[in-house]
Amino acid sequence: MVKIFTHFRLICLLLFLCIGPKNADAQSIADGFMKGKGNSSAALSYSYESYDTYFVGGNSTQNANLGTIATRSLSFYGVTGLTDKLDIVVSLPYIKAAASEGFWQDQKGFQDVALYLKYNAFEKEMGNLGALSVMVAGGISTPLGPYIADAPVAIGHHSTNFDGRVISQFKTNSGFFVSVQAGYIRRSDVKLDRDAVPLPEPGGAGTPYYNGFKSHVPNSFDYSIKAGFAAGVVYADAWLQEQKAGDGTDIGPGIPFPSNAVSYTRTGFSFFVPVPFYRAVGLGAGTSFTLNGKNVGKATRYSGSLNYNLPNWKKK
Amino acid sequence: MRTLYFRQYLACLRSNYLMLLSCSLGILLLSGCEKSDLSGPDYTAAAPSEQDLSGGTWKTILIKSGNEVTVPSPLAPTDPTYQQELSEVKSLQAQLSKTNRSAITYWASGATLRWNEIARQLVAKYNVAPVVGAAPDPSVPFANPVLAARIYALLSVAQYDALVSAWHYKLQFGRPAPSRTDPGIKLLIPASGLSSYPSEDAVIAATSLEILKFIFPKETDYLTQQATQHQESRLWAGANVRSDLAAGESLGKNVAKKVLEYAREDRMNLARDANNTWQQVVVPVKWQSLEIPVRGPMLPLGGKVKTWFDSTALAAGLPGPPPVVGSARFNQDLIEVRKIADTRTREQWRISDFWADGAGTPTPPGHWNQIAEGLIREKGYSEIRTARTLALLNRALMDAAICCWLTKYTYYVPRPSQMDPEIKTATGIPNFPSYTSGHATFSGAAATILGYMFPENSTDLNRQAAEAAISRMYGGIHYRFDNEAGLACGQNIGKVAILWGKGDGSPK
Repeated sequence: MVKIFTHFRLICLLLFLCIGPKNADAQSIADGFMKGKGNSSAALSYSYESYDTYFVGGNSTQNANLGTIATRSLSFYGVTGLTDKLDIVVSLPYIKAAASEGFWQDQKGFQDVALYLKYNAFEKEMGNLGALSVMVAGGISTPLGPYIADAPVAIGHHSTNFDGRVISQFKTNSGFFVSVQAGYIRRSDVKLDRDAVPLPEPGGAGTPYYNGFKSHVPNSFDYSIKAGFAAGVVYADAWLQEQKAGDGTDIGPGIPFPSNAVSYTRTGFSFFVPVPFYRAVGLGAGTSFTLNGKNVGKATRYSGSLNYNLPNWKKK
Repeated sequence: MRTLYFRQYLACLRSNYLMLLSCSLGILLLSGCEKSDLSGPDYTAAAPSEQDLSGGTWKTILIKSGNEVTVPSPLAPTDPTYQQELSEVKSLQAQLSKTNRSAITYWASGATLRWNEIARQLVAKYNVAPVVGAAPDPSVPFANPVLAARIYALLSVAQYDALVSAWHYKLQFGRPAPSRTDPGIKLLIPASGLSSYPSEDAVIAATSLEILKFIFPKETDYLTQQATQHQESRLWAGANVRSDLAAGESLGKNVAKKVLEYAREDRMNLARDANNTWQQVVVPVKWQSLEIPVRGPMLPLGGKVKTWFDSTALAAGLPGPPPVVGSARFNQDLIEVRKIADTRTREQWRISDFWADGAGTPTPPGHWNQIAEGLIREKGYSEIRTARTLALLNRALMDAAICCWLTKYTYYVPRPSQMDPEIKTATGIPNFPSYTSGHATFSGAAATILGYMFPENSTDLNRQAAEAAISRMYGGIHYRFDNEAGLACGQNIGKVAILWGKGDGSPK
């Protein structure tokens, strides 16, 4: 019993400390709201992200031979409530990335298809205060095609990712909410087009992050906190997210890009309103800013989405 | 009020702790999985079936013959000093650690090849263009393809000459391996039948250390550590005694000294064209740097470096002038590159990336050393035949670099993207003129000389050379005429190298 209680304390700590961010892409994949059985919605979003400054390790730098790297993406997102306590989410982005200077070829294509399940483990009404819920979510994302990952201009790292997370949300009856989440993303090794040579390590300490045609893609912890308002017709939030990569390389000549340890802190805002007179359709907009990071672009993103709430499939 | 929220929250958590526990465990499990071990490649200890006992008579490259450097006679097996050395081996073997054992196998898998591998890793580490405008720092050499070709050549030539000499003295002295003299010594690697004096491993470790620390002075500690471990591993393995190593080390150092004398005089130190004479050359449409900020071209006087093989025979195979910029042939080949760039397939990108061997890699000569390593391991060559193979290959590769650079800085042909900025690339644009392709020249030379030594692989080697050449068109940075002229020039260099190989006295 003592042991269990210790575990329990550990979990509490995890929930309170691990303010769980998501990847900006996964921003809507797992939030603290459940659809409810039979309710579905689909969204198409467009986003524009760009940076001219990036971090090599933790040092910020620019490269005149790349200029500004701009990434435009069109994403499909769908969610449905299988039961009142279980949602299934799918998403698929089509991405195009291009550098403004130099001669590197643009990259475009479908990136990673993602499938998530989110379970509302418990929900408690707290009288006039509001409701508290704790959810767990797990998902997998995997590349849809052989897109290029090992280049300065690329649309992803091409790994298959397993993501597990816990989300806790408290929502007041007036509509204000705050949620925290913590997750861990495990990324598979990727195959390279070339036979990459790991640098010599004096003393032979440690094992290389890449070698031959294979590269690790660092796993990462992911924390975020979100606060907002969701009631009636409007939704608005502000969030702060941190991704912390495990062991990996820094960006450098000859080093495969997928093995780079990508970490960042981002913040963003989003809001959503239904279209007047036709409330099944809504419009969303969002923005995000990279505050700091490692081996990542100091990117700013703007996005807009068109959402459609499908008729409940449970009712005839 | 706040306390109330918090209490209720805790109450919720408490009532569901089992569920939370299992989910958290799931996440911990996800994070607990280790990444796979990517170290290696691991090879077992080599056991060459043919030890090439005539190796001591083979033609040397920079030393006059196998007996130019003298090696003193070894002590008799009955000598107390030798007996003491045997005891040292026994006491070392009595306390072998796991690290010792893995070092034994690591070095016994092919000493010449292991040092070749170390050289490739160091080239990759130093293959980084310096900051534009920075004063050159000799202790941090820019291991670009030309310099890399020279590093591999110097290393292989030193290893080869030193091993010819070692084989000469091995045959002369015929000291049996310690395990044969003292049954208390266990031989932990396959028996070689070679005389243990002087130790070929000490020869290879010492020559390689001397050459590589001359090139990479900042790596001296790392290299010394490797060389020491290499030598000690032979004691641990029961294959040598201390005096075998000392004689080998001294021989190796002396041969390396002669190779370094050659290196100081080969004119590579002038190749970077400190006075920018390249700027005075006038051609109708001249190559320009496409980098921001503009960077001076790589080693404009690389074509003036001393060649390993007969320079008259090499000159006879130099490419003629390229199609004039703006001519029908030029435009046709330019349009071809543009078309590839506009419709580049994933497979074309893969081929481009596979052969790119750009910054931070062992360069195309390093890639061909790796291909040679695969063939050598397949055949289970002796150390001396391995060194011969690599010395022929790497001299050919360095001469390829010299011939190609001479051509590049005769014609100054612009890269495709300079002529048509809409040509986007799948690889970095090298900062020097286009004609001829370095990749094609290196690959033509390498496939030809390796095809001579591995005739059953000749077809495949030529296929690889052709793919390496066309990879540069797939990448968007070379014209077809660059590749055709480069391959032909490289093949000629390969043929000149074959002539040397045919006359070096090694049995086929």
